[in-house]
Amino acid sequence: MPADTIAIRDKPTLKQIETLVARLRRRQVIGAQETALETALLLRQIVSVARFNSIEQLTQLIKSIARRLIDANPKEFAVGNIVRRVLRLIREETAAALGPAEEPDNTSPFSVPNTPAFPNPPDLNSSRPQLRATNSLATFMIMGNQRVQPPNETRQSSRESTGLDHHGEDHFQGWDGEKKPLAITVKPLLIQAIQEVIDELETVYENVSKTARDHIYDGEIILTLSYSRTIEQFLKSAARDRHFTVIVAETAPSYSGRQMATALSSANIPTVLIPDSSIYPLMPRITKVILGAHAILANGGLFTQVGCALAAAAARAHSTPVVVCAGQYKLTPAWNLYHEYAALDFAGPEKVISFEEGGGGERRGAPLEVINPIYDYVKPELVDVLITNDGDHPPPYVYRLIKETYDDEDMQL
Amino acid sequence: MPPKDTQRDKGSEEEEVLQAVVLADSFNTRFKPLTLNTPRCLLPICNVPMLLWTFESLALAGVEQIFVFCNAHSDQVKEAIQTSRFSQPSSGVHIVPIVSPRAMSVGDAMRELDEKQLISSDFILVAGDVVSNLQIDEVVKEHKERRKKNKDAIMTMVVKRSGAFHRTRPVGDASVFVLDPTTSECVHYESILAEPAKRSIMLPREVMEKHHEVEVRNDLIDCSIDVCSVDVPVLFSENFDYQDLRRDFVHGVLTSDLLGKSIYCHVVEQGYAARVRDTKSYAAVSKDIISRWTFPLVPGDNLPGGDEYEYRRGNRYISKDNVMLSRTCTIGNDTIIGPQARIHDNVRIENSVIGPRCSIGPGTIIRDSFIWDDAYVDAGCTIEGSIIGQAVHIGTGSTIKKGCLIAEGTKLGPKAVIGEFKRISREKPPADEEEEEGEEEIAEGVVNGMAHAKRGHFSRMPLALELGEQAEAYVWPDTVGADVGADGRSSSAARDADSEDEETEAWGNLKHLRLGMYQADISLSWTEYGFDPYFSDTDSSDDEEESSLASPASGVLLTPSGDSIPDFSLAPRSSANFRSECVSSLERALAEGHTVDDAAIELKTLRMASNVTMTEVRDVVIEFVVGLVKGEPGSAAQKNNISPVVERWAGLITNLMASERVEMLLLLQVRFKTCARLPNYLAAFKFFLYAFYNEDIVEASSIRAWLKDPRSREAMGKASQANMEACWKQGAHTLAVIEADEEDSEEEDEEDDSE
Repeated sequence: MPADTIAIRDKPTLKQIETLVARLRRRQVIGAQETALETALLLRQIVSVARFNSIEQLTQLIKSIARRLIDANPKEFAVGNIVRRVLRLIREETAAALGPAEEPDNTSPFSVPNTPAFPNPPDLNSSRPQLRATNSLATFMIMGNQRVQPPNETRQSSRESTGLDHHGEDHFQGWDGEKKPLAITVKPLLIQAIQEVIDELETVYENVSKTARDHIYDGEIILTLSYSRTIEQFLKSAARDRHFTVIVAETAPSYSGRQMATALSSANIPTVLIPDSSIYPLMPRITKVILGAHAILANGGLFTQVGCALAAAAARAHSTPVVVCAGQYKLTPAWNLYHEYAALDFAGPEKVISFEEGGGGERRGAPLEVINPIYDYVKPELVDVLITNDGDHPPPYVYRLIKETYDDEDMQL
Repeated sequence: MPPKDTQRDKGSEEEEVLQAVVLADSFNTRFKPLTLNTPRCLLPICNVPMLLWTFESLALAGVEQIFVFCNAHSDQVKEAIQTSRFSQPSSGVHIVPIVSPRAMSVGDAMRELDEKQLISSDFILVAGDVVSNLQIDEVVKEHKERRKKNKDAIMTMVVKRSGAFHRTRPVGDASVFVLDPTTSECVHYESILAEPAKRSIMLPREVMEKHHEVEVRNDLIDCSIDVCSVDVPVLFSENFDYQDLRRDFVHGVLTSDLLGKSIYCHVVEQGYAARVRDTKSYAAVSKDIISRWTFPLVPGDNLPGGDEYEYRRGNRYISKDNVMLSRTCTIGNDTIIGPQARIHDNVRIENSVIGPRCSIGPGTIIRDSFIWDDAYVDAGCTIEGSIIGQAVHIGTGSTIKKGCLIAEGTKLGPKAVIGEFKRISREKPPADEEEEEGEEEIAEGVVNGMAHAKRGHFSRMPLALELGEQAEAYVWPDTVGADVGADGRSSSAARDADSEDEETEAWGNLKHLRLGMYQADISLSWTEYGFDPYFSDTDSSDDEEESSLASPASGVLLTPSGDSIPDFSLAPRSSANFRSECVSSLERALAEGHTVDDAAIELKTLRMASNVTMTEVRDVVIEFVVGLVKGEPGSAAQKNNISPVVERWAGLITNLMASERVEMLLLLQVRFKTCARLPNYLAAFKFFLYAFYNEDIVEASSIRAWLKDPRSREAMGKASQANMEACWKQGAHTLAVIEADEEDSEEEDEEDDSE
């Protein structure tokens, strides 16, 4: 808290932070896309008003605010994911701005080995502080990779002698000499970078559905659940080239499947709405199951709307392919440490049973316990492919994507 | 007040600042002795002060400005507001505490609100102990829309559909709402007390004339959330006798033709809102929070206090802050374990809330209980269905049975045995409590000494109460289970009098509000409870006033049974004073020949000033009128004197009695008994009755109802059974005469008025 008040003196921004914290806590902002967008907008605002002398200060500031946002609703993973994205961009941009002299230095040891499954190495070659001694799975994987480890090790030690802080200070002094504060030089670049993230969030549906026609063929019968704008867009874009039928399960108790069904049928896609109980018996007729995701976890498992675990398990029993469509911002460096059923979050019983019946009078026998989970956990084995705006990937590959998307030091915010 | 000006400026700048008024005081003492040192709104529910739940509920609805009226322990309330996260400038909510030591009721608070001119537009009025996840702003919007069309729609009450027997619906403090289903206008309101059981309500005839269709709803929880227009405080100022928001204000507005205002209800189907009215609803609301009806306001998500909890299967909430759970302890369903609590070996906790920093000793069993902050429970105790206050120390091997309230700082045990429904505090109960209950003895334990509680007390109930050797505690007089009839508490007292006074709460009713008290224990047949709205189409009477009477012949009729037992116990304190003033006022009126209306107004003012019940006023008037009749008791002179006197005062009597004719007759009866020293005097009763009838003070039907009323034949107050019986017989005789008269006169009209 003091950290933000020192660095941010702009009252509206402070209020904006509080408002988002409160809204997250009160669940007035829900859903991955909405929270991601709100977070990105807030970060843009913070970067534009914050006062900082070094990049380290800025990242610390962002992290402290991020922690508050995450604590407000730890179940919205997109908040943390966007923060990680932005932090990484900040490091990249400043490194680029601070002088091209550094760049070749950093590039070679850190470039990730090209694997066949990795067609287009993303801009990892830009300089970024790397691989402190964090005990994440990602580090472990890298350590296990003989090709990367030795240079990494040496680099790490040399890095530690200079250190990022030291590194940053050097430059700051350099800039000082020119009487140009770091903040002023870098800020426009950073804002620009965050703006790109925002633009990407706004176009995520189009980008996910770019490859829709490659995944859906004529005459397919597709099962989907719940309402997801990604899937709606995906199916609509596929419908331009293909003729297929969609079966939508109504997805009790939120019944968001109904919304999905009406949205699809109004787009002239043949749609059938079924109760959830028909998912299993209908599965033999279904050629593909398309699911949305709330978060894609590091092991390739998913947090999805409730009901998806049932559909995925039924699909596995009938060997029906399961396709998951989700934006890249849902990639989450986290694992499901809970039970598989009803792992994450529980809503109130109101949607399941009326207050009148469920609240119970006194002395009416044993208390009625109502469980209303919001999310399901879908194991990675049950998913065949993940379609993101960053290409299609199999679930076991997610850890790699996460490593490429976020900096290791940000894994724990 | 510095905030005043700034607020007004703000109000003019931004038109739509949503304001709320929180009444932090409940103006009753149902939580005593827990509220001895803590204001009720700061008592924790699910480990968070109730006031914070209310603030969060309001913040959820987008309220920007909250005025908090506090009375008792206002410094604590202020401090709580200051330390809460809502007082941070960036929280988006501006909270202004208003200390009003004068306010003794909701009405007083509203009048003060009007005086201070703090309210600029429609506002939300809530009690300081409401838990809700409603979007109240939508109700406000609805209210404003309605106001645009109809300026007289001054208030919207938020009610939740729940079913008549829902645990959250207070049995002793429920309400029946009569709604117009098309507009959801509330056309009639009746508060329902559990005791005396109300089997019927009366609906004014006009209601049926104005509305084609009405719904009588006995399944609604009154959430104590009202959206009020600015006129509401003004109305309170104009009617200075309004005390209670529901019983006086709503009832007054709905029954008054003069005001011409209307009140609407918003029936909530989705979402949760309930008020902690008493210890029983405290348990119910806690349970609702634990079973997540208040989602997202639940521990682990958006707990107003900000503590973090881990939610585990079976509605178990374990704080993330250094809880020590022994490996061998059993945490049952529906349980909250607060921050830094220490639960030792072999403890069993079920369906309970354990507060922050509590310590529960090995082998203790806790069921259906609420243990508040810093309590220390030693090994081998059993606690069931009770509330254990802050920093209570319970020694080894103690047993606490259901329904107990143990106040802050009390020490009990070791080996204490506390029976059901005991109230125990560290401080001595206030003197008047003892006095009132008379015979009940105060058990007293002294530190470091043998508990030298009075032997008699213990020998009477050897196992019911044992405070333990190192106890520092006083047992409060038993109120529950006291014989209601003998006690003389009455519902009319509860209704008429200011609700701030403990003594005005009907004990019989209060026991329904106690924690752990189930219907089965009270042995009421609840199948009979409910409504049989019998609407007959007979058009026997066009007289408006009569239609609201309890007469079997009138249109909408639901006979009152036990609706209003008059208060025959003559309150010892201010009443003597009041009586003499009343009598002198009446004498003045007699001497100076005032009109009866003037006399009535004077009496009403006197009643306000000395804070007595309407019943008492009636009693004085009846006594006065009876006393006016001169002449030798039983003589012809006296008989002749009766009718002029009654004629002279008929207006006043009618004015005061309003619709409670049966009660009046009972009073008359009792007065006769107590006044009459000579048996002859009794004989005058029938002449009085006849005179009353002739002056249209009573109808034949009221006399009939009185005769049927079992109370008219019982011994009451100082009147002996025999005397009552004598009177009753006279009454029966008079009625026969009257009926004979009526039949004569009505033969021409061909109207049959007999049942």
